This record gives sequence, C-alpha cells and structure tokens, in this order.
Amino acid sequence: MTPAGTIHIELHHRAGQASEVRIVSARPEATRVLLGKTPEQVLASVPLLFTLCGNAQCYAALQACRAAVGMDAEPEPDAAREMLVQLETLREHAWRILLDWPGLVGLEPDKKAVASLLKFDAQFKRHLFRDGEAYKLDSRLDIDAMPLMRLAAELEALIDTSIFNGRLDGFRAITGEAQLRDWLWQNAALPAHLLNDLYVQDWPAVGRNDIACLPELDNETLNRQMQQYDLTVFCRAPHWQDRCVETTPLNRQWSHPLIAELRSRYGNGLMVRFLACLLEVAAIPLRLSRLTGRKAKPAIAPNADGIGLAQVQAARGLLIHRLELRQGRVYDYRIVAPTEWNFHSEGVIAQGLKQLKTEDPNALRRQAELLINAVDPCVQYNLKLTDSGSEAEAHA
Amino acid sequence: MRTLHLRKPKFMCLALPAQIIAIDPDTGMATASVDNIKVEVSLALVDDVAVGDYVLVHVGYALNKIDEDEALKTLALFAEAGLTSNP
Repeated sequence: MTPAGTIHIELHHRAGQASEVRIVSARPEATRVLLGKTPEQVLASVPLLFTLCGNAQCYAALQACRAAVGMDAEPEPDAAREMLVQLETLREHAWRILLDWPGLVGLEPDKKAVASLLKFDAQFKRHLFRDGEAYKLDSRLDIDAMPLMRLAAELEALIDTSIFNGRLDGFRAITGEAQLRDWLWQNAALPAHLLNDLYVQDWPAVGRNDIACLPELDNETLNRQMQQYDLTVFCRAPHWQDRCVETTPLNRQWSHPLIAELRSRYGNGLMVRFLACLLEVAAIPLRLSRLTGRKAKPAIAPNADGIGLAQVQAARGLLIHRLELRQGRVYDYRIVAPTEWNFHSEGVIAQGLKQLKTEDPNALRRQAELLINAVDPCVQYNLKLTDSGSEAEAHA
Repeated sequence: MRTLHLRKPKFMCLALPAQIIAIDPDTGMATASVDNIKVEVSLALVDDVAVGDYVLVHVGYALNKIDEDEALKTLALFAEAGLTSNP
C-alpha cells in the first residue's frame, strides 16, 4: 500500500472531443490515527502527518480542538495564525509558479528562489509566537514587529524578482484584460510565458463549466449540513445543498475586477484559475507587511456535546476539520480537503473535462492536464484517455 | 508556437519521511527510501544532506531535513494509521 493516494481519471473521447469522465479517488484517510487521542495528542500528531499545508491543517485542528473542549476564541493569536496560513498559501502558489509553470511552457524551473522561500515559515513563526510554537492549546503570542517587517520586505523583494521580474507593482495595478495584455506584452516574467501561451493557443476558456463556487458558510450551518449525511460518505464526496461546488483560489478572487471581467469572457476556464493564484501571490506580501491575515471564523461547539468544527482557507481551497470528543478523547475525526470537493465524480474537474473539444488526443491530454493542474496542482492523479470511437469499432 | 507540456503527476500533501541512501553530487539528485520503495529526489531545495539523513519529500524534491527521532515518530504514526506497509 502506498501512502500517497491517487485519483484515477478516465476521459472518454471521440477523436479529441471529450464525451464522458470517470473519477475514482483512492485517497487515504489519515485521520484514523487521531482516534482515541486527547486534543493535546491530536495537536502533536497533525504536524507530523501534514507538511505541505501544515499551517492550515494545524490551525484547523487547533480551532476544532479548542471549540470541542469549550475554550474561548483567541482573536489576536488567531490573526497571527491567519498570517502563517497566508504565508503558506504564498509559498504553495510560488512553488507551482516557479517549479511547475516553467515546465508547462518548456522553460527551466527556478529552484533557488523556492529554496529561499522555504525558509520564511520558521522565521515568521519565531517572531510571532513564543518558541515558534503556534498550534498548541497553550501557545503564547509574542510578536517581534521589527524583524517581522523586515521579513515581509525580504519576501516581497524575492517574489517581485523571481515571479514578477521586477514588475509586481504593475501587476497589482491591473484591473482589466486590456491592462493584463499590456503587462504580458514582451514580459520575461515566468508566469507571463504561461499566460501568453494560453492566449496564443486560444485556450483561456478551456475547461469552462457551470459548477458554482462553494458559498461562505458559518460553522453552525456547515455542521448542520454535514450531520444530515453519513460523515464518511460526505467527506469522500462533499456537496452543498445536493449540488457539486468548487473550492479553489478562484472562490477567493471571484470579485477581483480583473477576474470578474475575464469570467464574463472566458467563464471559469484556465485563464482565471492561473490568474487567481497569481493575484494571491501579489497580494499576500502586502498583507504580511501590514501584519494582517484574513478574519478567522469562530469555531463551534454546538450543543456543548464535544463537537468542534473549523474552516480554514488553505492554499488550494477550503479545509474543514470536524471532531467529536467523548470523555476527553477523540471519538470521531473528519477532514474535508479541497480535493474532495473539486475531484467529486460530478464536480468541477469532471464537468470541466467533459467540455474539452480538441482536434486530436494529444491536445486533449495537454488541456486535461492543464485543467487538473490549474484546479489542484498538488494531487497525484492518473489520467487515462480512451477513444470511444476506436473502442466501439473494436467491439463491433 | 511553443507546445505546452507537463511534468510528471504530483503527490498528495501527506509528508512521509524518506531516508537518503545514495547521493549523486554531480546531478544534485539522491536515491531515497520511502516505505521501502526507492525514489529519486532532487536535493536542490535543501542544504547539507548526507546519506542516512531523513528528508520530507514532495513532487520529487526533498523539502527539508528532519531529525531521526521525528522521522521515526512520523513513520510510526503512518504505520499506526495503516498508511504504510511497515511499522
């Protein structure tokens, strides 16, 4: 058994025209290991299990545990934790932009910049929390503002140089497609190559579909919805009001003027997805320099029955932790990751893939892989293309 | 017109420690053992990694070095969860 669960995607087509999609997920349930543990043990285990979205996972676990044991909200430490999640979002997006996006257009990845980025997490933690411990029940906020400001300035300079080729301010000022085109013109920045290629290939709308974004929900409402279903089934194939929805960076950037204009032309296709990540990368260093994160949603302990639920906006989308304590130990623990919403058998990936219409199977594969990477670049998947025309002939 | 092409598929966000069993200093690549499976990893993102060290691996890159105690604790946790074949 391999620890890394794979999502199997079967795309049926006729000469490059998609006709049917089948998605089967074999992602492991890591939360089994948390059963029977105390909240303190949970919070010691979660950082060992998850590294890449470690801040988001640890923060969600902490909030859920705190709610389940009836502890009060901690607005100031939580604001600092939100900053750490933002930093992580920046790192995850930057990783893709610097290591993966160049590969999509035949360029070399920028490993040096990524190596530099990986060092910021520990430094921010050290200047925000005593002993750098951010996710314990007894973590103490201990902000050292001056070094934090210096770190934020260093981070911004690194992002500006490595991702925006010194044109970060120009990118931040973009509010419409005409300005975007101007910014892309003769721009040597790494992401500009990919976005230009989408225009050149006439692929900005590739994968456009009608799946809506998951609306913002308060924790009570979400918990009520989850309790209506078998939790195991819900966590594997979540939905909202019996409909599939997506949760990605696009949800968070939905109202940005540039995204709004592009959506009106290209829907939720490739262009807005890649741009949503880039907009977040551009905005986060500013927020960090002002020492602000997103506003945290208060976690809940409904009916004081030992249930705690927390929602955190992780790099890929909404992350939910829900646990139930009995006699001070975990009786039930659930995590709903963005992947489960987005790779639902009828979800945004499935519907997006069904819309693909190309001239040949090679182009179809390239578009399918771009779409999968644009929605969730972190997931391990196996994409199989089946030509239904040939299959039908073979069975005739 | 350039052709869009992609690298290999990705791995999920669980962080499984891998032990370095060989290093090629010319290429900056290493062979690591993850749950008794050999994988090739790039050392481009980490400093001072030696044979025998544990690293966390993602998408073919060693992310960071971790000490042996933490690695063994993590591996035990994965085994307890039934996520790996070996305790």
